[in-house]
Amino acid sequence: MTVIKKLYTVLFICLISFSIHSCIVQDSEADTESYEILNMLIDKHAKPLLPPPPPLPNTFTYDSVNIKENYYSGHWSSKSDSIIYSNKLDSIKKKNEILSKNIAQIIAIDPYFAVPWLADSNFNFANSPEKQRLYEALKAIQDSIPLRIDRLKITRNDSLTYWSKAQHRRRKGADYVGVDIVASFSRVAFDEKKQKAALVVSFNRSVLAGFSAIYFLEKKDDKWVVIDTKGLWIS
Amino acid sequence: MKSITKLLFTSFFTTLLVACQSEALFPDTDTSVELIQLSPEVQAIKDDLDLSHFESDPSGIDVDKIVIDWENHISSQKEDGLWYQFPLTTVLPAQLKSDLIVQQDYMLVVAISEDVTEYSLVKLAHLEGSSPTATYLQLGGFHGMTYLYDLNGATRGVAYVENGETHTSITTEHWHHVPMSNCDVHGLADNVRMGTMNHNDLHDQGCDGGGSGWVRVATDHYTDWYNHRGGNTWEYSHTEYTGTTYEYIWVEGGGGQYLNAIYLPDAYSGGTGNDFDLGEFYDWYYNERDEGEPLRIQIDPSLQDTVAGCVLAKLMLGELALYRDTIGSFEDDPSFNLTFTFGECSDGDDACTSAADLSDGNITIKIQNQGLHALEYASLILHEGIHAEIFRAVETYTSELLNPNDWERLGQLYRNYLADNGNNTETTEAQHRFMTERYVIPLAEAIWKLDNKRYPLDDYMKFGWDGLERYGFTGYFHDGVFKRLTREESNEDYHNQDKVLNNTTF
Repeated sequence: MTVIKKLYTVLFICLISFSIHSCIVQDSEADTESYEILNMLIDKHAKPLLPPPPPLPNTFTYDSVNIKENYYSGHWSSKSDSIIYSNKLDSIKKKNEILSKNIAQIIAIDPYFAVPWLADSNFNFANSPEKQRLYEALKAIQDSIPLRIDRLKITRNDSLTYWSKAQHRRRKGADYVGVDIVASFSRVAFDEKKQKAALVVSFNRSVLAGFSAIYFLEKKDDKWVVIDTKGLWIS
Repeated sequence: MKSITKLLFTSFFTTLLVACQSEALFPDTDTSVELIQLSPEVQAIKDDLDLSHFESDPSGIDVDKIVIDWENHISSQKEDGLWYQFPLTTVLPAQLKSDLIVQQDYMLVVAISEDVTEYSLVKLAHLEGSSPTATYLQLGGFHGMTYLYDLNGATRGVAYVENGETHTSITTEHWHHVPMSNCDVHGLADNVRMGTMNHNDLHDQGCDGGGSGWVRVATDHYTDWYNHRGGNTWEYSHTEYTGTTYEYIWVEGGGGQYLNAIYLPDAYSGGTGNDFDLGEFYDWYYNERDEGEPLRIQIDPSLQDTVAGCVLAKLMLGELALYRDTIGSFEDDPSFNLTFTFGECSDGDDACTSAADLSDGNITIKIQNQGLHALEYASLILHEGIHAEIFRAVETYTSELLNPNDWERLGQLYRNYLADNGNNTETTEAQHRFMTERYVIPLAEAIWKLDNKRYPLDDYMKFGWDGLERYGFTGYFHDGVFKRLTREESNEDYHNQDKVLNNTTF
């Protein structure tokens, strides 16, 4: 009887230990995955601003424009105009690529994985139950957790710092001081297998220039890729 | 003869020099320190005074640096008791940024009645033409503001005094009923909401577009930091913003004439110009207007009693072309609804435009940052209004805002950044690039007009650049010419904006 009792005790302790261990593994796994997602998104969106393309010269005449579909067609008054403009664009593009590599930005990161900014949203992803589940999981998140910038690994030659309103705005209404981009991330909602995820992201270049969206991601070949987004706002 | 004159001249100067030095080097032997016995009443006042809980905000008075001159008091018997006044000989007040105030004096005032002894620290802010020797108990010739603070530093009352006569005053319990001659007057300090504003109280005074009124004056506080490089070498490091305090002053006459020439929507019977009343406007807006016409521009009640709501009302009733061609265009398009609300964007934003439900014709402008100046709200409302109109225009391919050249350039930028008119990085880049090229000056002009062209247009450029500066720094095309905004220009714009914001009566 005593032996059986002991056996039960050992089994019970093992069970508890295993549960705790798997919880920790699960949490730390989610934690690691969250930072991997952030690394990818920062690389994707925190690119330096570069000069815009020059306006098309008057020698170009539009035949048809559909801005939303990014479609427009037209004709040049002479072939040489077209070649000159194309060469100009190519030259600017190359110059911008070189410029972009040499620009080191300061990216301010909101110090928390925040509660997703979805309180007043009511989206319906009827054609994708998976997205709907992730969206609802996001909406259910009620607390924020600290975000450690030392765990972020970005590929560009930028610096990371924590975002602080007091430090980075010279007064209310004024723009950022000492930072080029402010990035905020919500906590990440995962599916059970940690193969799909969703989070709310916002990137701002100023207090009135940024965007926010829900990002739906999937792990493919051990890398997180964006499979869809649902825009929330621009500013 | 010459040498005698020279001798006399030299002797005279030597004597003068010695006399001067003597005065400087040796104390006046006739002066002796004498302890003056205070009267029992003054001694009792001194003993009872407790400034340990006095907060320097909003008065700007640092009580640790105060020296009360107990001996040089004056007293005055009034109907409600005996009043004492003691000058404060050393104070380090915050410097108001307003150029309206020419002198500030401080004093301790004690009113002793049968029931109670009431202590107040008083600040006299002299406006131009005021007698510099006036005090709180001797207001003859005084022109300016009197501020009374209790022993916790809270504002007990503010009065505007003209030639020694109190013209108008507000007290703590009236903060929420301040007559609004401008949208910047609203409760205390940072509070944007005007709380339990009573429309009847406001009716007579009006949230008018011009005339006289209380103006909130902001004081920004900064600390300059230096690195010590050895010896007397100090190298400037940075300036730290440590907060803003606000006070009220009364301004005679002033801005808003622009709004007297008013565009009136149909069925609006409320006051305009100097008779404009915010409560009346929103009564009409919510209760009467929808009988006659659909509310295609919807204002969420969360904005109703706020500075942003006041600004929006003024914009709706004004005749700004930029407003008419952006936000105003939604009035005429039954397939769209534009909603203004207080809402959450992200921590780094002041406002945002949500077109997440664009396919159903719904666009929402959320105003997030609370505590801005009225003109800043006007600027960000117009900025977001341009986004809203571009969203609408690209969906419908119709717009009063865009001429054929604009359409071409917008199309080119959308294509270049692969924008799809959604809430994403591509669309925000394309739209902001376009706005940088086309709307910096129109935005600045709009704010300039709202401020009744108080200063030259150049002083309003920061309002045009709000949110677009980064794009300006990297370069933009204006009338086909490539330009860049420089840091120096931007800094100058900031300074000019500070001046405008601290003196506007919009």
